[in-house]
Amino acid sequence: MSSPTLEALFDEVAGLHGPMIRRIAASYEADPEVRRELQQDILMAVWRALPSWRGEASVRTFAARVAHNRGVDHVARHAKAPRTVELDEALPLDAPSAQEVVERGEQRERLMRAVRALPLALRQVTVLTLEDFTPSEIADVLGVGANVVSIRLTRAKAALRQAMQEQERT
Amino acid sequence: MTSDPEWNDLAKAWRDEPEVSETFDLVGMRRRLKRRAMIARLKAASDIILCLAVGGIAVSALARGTAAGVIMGLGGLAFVLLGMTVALWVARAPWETRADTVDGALRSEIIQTRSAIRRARSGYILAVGAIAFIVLTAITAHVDIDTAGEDARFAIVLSLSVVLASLAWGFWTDRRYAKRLARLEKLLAELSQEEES
Repeated sequence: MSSPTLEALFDEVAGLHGPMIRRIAASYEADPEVRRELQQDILMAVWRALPSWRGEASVRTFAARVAHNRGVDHVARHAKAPRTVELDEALPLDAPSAQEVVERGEQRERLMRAVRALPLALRQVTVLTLEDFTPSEIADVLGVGANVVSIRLTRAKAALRQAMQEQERT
Repeated sequence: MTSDPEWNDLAKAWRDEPEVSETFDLVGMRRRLKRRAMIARLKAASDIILCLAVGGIAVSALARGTAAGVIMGLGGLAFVLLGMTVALWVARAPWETRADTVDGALRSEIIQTRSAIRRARSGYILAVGAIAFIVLTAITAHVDIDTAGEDARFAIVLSLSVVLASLAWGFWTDRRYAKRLARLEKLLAELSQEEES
């Protein structure tokens, strides 16, 4: 792959799929500072891996796969489990005064916390489903069978529902 | 979009992000990548230069034809061979990134970590060999520690210190990788749980 093509492809990943990468990183790390490092780390990994992209899967699937690989690596590097409590999440809001925006932000934050609390295997299928990946794409990213994806998704949904209900009660 | 309305609602909330002012510093990142690649190349080049220098000394020691010269020469050549192999192996793929599946990447990481542990442990054997080599050279060169000059004593102490420091480094690396291996195996077990059940 020539350098300009590679750079254009990388710009596409960073531009179009940047938000997805940010959310995947957030599912592995709650600390905003460390999370930013992880995001950069993921992008670096994408840059280094792009020459090996042969187009069998979409570039989005490719980016998600690399992002999860780095996420798992991040978990493996840290002896302690990643923090699941948000330390400081400054969410820039478009319409600061709108209550609805605040409620949506809170709901999203509750969901993010519940996702982070899931066991790794369930967290991965959950994040990919929430990112609108089909079960066969998820199987492709994670290297597991469609059956396994289906089992994990059923368990993940139940665990997520329970975690969110508990958060609402507290 | 899935056929499950519950997932769809959650997905909507998940992706319903406010505009984020935070952007990826792509220019800075590319600069860092180029710098790291350059450092990796410089390290490999310095390893090769060091090996060539030691090789030159070894050949000149061999050319002397004395017993000490032959031992030093052969030891030096063995070092060059090992050093060049490691330098070329490291330079071969300093920026290799796995784009395999998550499961595959984890397995490959485990293999690499096991290999790193083996490398660290092989350092113990090399260190013992190096100590034996220093002692043997000193004996062959008839170095009497009581009557030896300052330079000879300094050389022996320095060599032994370097070997002991590399032994300590190897021990630390060994332990660090062993802990990492345990974490990786735990993660793989966690990820494989559903497949086995």
